Amino acid sequence: MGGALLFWCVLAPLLWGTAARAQETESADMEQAAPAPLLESSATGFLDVRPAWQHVHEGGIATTDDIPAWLLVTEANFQLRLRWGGRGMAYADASFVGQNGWTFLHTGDDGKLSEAADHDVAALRPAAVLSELYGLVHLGPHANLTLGRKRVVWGPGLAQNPTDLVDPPKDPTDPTCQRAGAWLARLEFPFERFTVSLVAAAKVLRQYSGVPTALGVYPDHATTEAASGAVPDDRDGSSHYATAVRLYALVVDTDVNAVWYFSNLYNDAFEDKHRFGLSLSRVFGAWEVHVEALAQRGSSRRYADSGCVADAAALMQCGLDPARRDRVLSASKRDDPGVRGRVLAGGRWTGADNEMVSIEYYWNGEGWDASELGDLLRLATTARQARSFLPPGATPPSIPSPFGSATADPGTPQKFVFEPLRRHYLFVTAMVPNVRNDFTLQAVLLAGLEDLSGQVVPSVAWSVREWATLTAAVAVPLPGVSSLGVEAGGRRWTESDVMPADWRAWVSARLFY
Amino acid sequence: MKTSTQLLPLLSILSLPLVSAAPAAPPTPAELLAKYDAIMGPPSYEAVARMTAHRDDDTERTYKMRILKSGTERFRAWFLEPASVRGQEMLRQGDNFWLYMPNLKRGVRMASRDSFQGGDFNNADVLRVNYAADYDGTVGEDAAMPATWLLELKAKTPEAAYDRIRLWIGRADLMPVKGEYYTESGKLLRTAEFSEVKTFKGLKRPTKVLMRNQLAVKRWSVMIVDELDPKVNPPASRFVVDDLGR
Repeated sequence: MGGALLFWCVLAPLLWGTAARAQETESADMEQAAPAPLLESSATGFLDVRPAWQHVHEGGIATTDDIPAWLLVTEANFQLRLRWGGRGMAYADASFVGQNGWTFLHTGDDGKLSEAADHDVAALRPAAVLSELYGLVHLGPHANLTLGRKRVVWGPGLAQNPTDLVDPPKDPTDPTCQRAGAWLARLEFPFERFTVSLVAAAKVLRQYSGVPTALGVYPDHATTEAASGAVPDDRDGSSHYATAVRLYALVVDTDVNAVWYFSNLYNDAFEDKHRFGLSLSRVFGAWEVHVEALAQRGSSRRYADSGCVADAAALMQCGLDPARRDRVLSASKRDDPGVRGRVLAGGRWTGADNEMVSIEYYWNGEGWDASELGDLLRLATTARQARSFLPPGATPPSIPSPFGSATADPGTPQKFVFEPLRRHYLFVTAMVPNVRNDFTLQAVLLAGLEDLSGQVVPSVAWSVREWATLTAAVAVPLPGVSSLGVEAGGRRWTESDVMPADWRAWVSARLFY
Repeated sequence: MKTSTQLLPLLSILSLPLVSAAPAAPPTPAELLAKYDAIMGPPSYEAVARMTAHRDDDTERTYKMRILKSGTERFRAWFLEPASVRGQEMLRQGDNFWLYMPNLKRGVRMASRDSFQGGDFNNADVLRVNYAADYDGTVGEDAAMPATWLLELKAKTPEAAYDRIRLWIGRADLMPVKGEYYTESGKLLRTAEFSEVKTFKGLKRPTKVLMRNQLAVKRWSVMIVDELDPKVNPPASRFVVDDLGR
């Protein structure tokens, strides 16, 4: 209800203030139309309860301390749409999420797991997730303005959208799970066969329980935690934003999107960065075929200095050398002139009874090669060894994790966070609905093609009633071929080895209203 | 050209008494197709309809939708019920179809022959009622149904809903009575029964279409039109991809 109140307070004055002007411009288009109701509204939503289990495995790179073996996620979602004839609309998609985790395991410096007490985990605190909250005003038959939080996805990719640089990332094993968008202003000029969109998005820099308090620029004051020295003060004097100009056209029955991005420290380390995206989507018989690509210069990812990761002594020596300390792990190829890309290409087949098979290949041009990933893994294992050499009570040097995105706002809690370390991936989804009328069978394959590791996620959904669905799923890890993995620290690593958890299982009960 | 197309249904209606009074001279296929389109897919309309899918375990699922049509090439549908599909939308623009998924927050391309919400209609049955553009035909008689004309149709575009159709049209009022829908090889896919003729603001049409799935004979779907306004003039901006979800 708090989200609804905020929604009304912020958006209602905006929409009412512009309604009269919009009505005039729409009137020509609505000639002879029956008088529309002044206000149309619709509300929907769901209550979802999802107990989950995951097997935290020994020997991984990432810390396991805050990953519970047992998790209960409860999400109460409501979606409210208000529409004022042809003048404009307002929309809210908000969830109140409660999460509880039990049974934590601590990773020791020797890589062994030991039981840890249940404890407070910031990522598991209750949150209000405002996935979307925006108002849209029609400025004329071919112009509209959107303000608020909105998910803007232009690319046709199902598992991934390489041309989407503004929204929180989605889970390729369940793309429908991510509904959250970006805080933005959008001016759009839609026509029957083409659309021009101008978007300016501000990065969420501070947010508490899902409610943002700083967008685009940091506030003047530090957080309580930073002021007390518990965490570093991450403020800077920069503006964190992304802008985009997008042209959509329907050409020869093909959806064509061309996007130019200009961003500064928005979800990655790039400053004043230009990027270009292009996507195509067309139906051929029962197949929808698409390609979605992004091109840029340089890489925003972090790379380890190979001279510092050979062993603990080399790492400590680099750490003590002011000239090399910052290069141990840095975005050293950020200004690299070489062009890198991300390309997703695939197709989706739909059968007569809505059976569906989607096959997509993803080339991640920002992925690390074997040598680069080897250095990162050596850095992680060596840093762990170096900690064991420190005297009791000494503070180890802080080395940020090379893995994980710079997205401050993860959006809707995801079942799985996909972090593509390498360059070649395959996503396959097969779905058969209407099995014995009420069951939907689905299997998703996510595979890294360099070491053949990944996961298969079979699931079954039972539509108990028109308003109730029960789902059971298990994520089966594919360990990959060890000989194709990357050598570091005396062993070979596949991408699955880097993950903190391998087997996962969950059931979900979702009640719609 | 546009004017002559718009006049075609009118001419067909004006010629009805002559057609009915002269059994030796059946109407032309073009006349019957134009009449079918004028009844089942008038140039522009807004409607509220329900599709009930009866499944092979004797249970059923009902979907309620709002439909908006403008001209022969633009079509939009909003699913209102049940709650599990509320927010889904469909858009047709010429030969192109999109399905808006609220959880994906975007429209995805789909084929015209995909099943309509898992029922026994396909997308083109509902979103593409433009038989004059999609089919060539011949007119004949069926001794078993002497009160009807038998229209044998063959698709002239791959985007048409079916490769072949047999359509029975009432001689008295030119209302569709029954349909059979085939693959190119002649395999019967579905049959339809049209009934419960009502008048909506001057438009007289069957409000109930019963579609039986001949590949899964225990399944059938019923489409019932509850409300229909053929006098609306919806703005073109409601039929563009970027309007989906609004």
